[in-house]
Amino acid sequence: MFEDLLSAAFVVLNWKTLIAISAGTIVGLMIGAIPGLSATMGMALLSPFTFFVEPLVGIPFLIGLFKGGTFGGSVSAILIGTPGTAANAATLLDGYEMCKKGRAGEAILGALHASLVGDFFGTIALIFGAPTLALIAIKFGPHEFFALILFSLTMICYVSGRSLAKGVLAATLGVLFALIGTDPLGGTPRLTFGFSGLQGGLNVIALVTGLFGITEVLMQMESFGSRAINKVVSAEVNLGGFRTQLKAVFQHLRTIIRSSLIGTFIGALPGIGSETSPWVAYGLAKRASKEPETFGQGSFDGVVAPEAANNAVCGAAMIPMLVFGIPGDIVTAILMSALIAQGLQPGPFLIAEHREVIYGLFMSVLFATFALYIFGRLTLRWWIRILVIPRPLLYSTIVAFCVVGTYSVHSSIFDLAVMFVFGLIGYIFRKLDIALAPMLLSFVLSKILEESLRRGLIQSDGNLLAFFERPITAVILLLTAIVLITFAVLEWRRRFSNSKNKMIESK
Amino acid sequence: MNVGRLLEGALAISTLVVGALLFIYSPELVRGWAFTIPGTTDVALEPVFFPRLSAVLICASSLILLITIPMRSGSLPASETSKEAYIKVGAGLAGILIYLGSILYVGFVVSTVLFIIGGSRVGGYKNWKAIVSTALLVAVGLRLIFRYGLHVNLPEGILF
Repeated sequence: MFEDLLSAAFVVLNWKTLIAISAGTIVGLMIGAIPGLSATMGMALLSPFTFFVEPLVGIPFLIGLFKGGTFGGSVSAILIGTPGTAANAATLLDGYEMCKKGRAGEAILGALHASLVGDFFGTIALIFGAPTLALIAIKFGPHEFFALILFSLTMICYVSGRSLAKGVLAATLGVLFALIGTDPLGGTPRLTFGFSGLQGGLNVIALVTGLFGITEVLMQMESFGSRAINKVVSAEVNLGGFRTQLKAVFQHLRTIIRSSLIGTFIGALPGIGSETSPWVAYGLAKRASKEPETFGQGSFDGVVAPEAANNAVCGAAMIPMLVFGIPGDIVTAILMSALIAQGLQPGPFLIAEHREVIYGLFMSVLFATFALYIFGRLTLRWWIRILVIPRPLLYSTIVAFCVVGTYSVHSSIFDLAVMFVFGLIGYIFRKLDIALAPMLLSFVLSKILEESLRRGLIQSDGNLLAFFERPITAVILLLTAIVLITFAVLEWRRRFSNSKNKMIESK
Repeated sequence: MNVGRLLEGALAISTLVVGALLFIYSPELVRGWAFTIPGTTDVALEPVFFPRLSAVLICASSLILLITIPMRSGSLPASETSKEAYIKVGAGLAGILIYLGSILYVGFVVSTVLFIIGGSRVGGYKNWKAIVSTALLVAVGLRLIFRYGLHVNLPEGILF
């Protein structure tokens, strides 16, 4: 393995890949820093660009973008109290307070150091964990895959929004949209309504661009025309100094390492995604702190804990995606689509069949960690300028990127229509407080879910109980049932007590 | 019941109807040369198996949402959005639709320049120099990158 890593390092050390990593990181930093944009949107808009270049240029670009975008979101969270991505929401609690006290530079630099450590932990987990897990995953059959995907989707439905019922509805709609195209076992067309353009199914890039690009543009349009839209931040934010001495970082190293481990563990679980780990890390840091009352008032620990965790997720979340083909969140779903477009089908055999490329990707992830630190450090003072880009100009440009990115995949006007329709669907869902992640992820996973279920049933002559006769499948299905019932009961209790309180208040 | 909850109910009912229709009409919607021999072919091999299973799940989740609507408290973003905001979004949708249509006939570059200029002005930004220079840079830049860098032709239409 070490020989593979060493030879992969030499493969990656060429100007094309290094430029791709650097460009991806810088673009990710910029996109993450602008409120309203996110690493997700950046990946959705720019992933089609990578389909036309070699794998060890396109995928490292996206990895750099992923990492840069995750850290970049902390900048707007700290400077203007608006998280650039959902994964940075926990950073806001103390980061923004530090900014109000004139310590914004210290907060941003602390976040950067924490992100570096977290990222490193996640990357090491990926490099050593993925090949090891692949050896176990090779023994998985269709029953095990079905159970694992069902578990992931259940977690996604609960974690992604405030309502389990809405999450499940969104997921079932994702399955409905994925039915369009051809039967994966029989090859028969279904739900094409006689239209040949639908035989290949809906283009995932059109879906993603619509749901996360066009939808966000529509949301922002609600406030177009108001004065506040043109400038996000006053030019007089006091950054304070940028001198966080390394001594200060070492003083908080225990928090950073604990949070990195939390982010790595949670990120490696299929379906959990990057939004949960920062909050878990924040909560544990507060509990472990000698001064918990300072949390929420500008505590340095309150900034470094979530940042270490959310960057640790970047590498770790790629483990289930690469080994099982199960993306943990939208970003890894897009990364997976990009891999498939490059002819690299995620699954247990990916590492064995494409050893050189995959180890090259591992080294790209490692180099991207260092690129994040170098470019993050060099560009710190540019953030204020980025935040004052006028919204109408920015979002009009984003629509152009959405169009170009979607059209370029198949040069199809139909894909543009799909993008538009899903932009509208995404807007309606956001207005009804329905999370979009369950729909997208179930769309992506539906084909594998269907194949696994049907193959499993065929192998066991239609006997559903065969799923429970296999120990791994039985355990995962049991876990899924427990999780689903627990979440449903908790939500039911919460709603019931809310209704009761409302009735009491009205009397 | 407020607007948001009514919309939620409408969505739940619509998806319930879609699920029911999918279940009933699956055999017609799933066509092709695959066939089943009743009593001998594995159910899981039948083309309608998964669509029907999905239809059941859609109906079940729609019903659950419908039943739980009265128990939900708090307001939805749909209720908190003003009529003016919806009008702006409607106009934006119309603008995007016109842009997508014009790309085919007029061409990518000209349509994009006009869209960015129009979108920025209607959105309330007034700096003409920034708007026009950004529009030209983005439209021409993307065309050149895709044409000569990635070898993808963007629609040209009657213009450019």
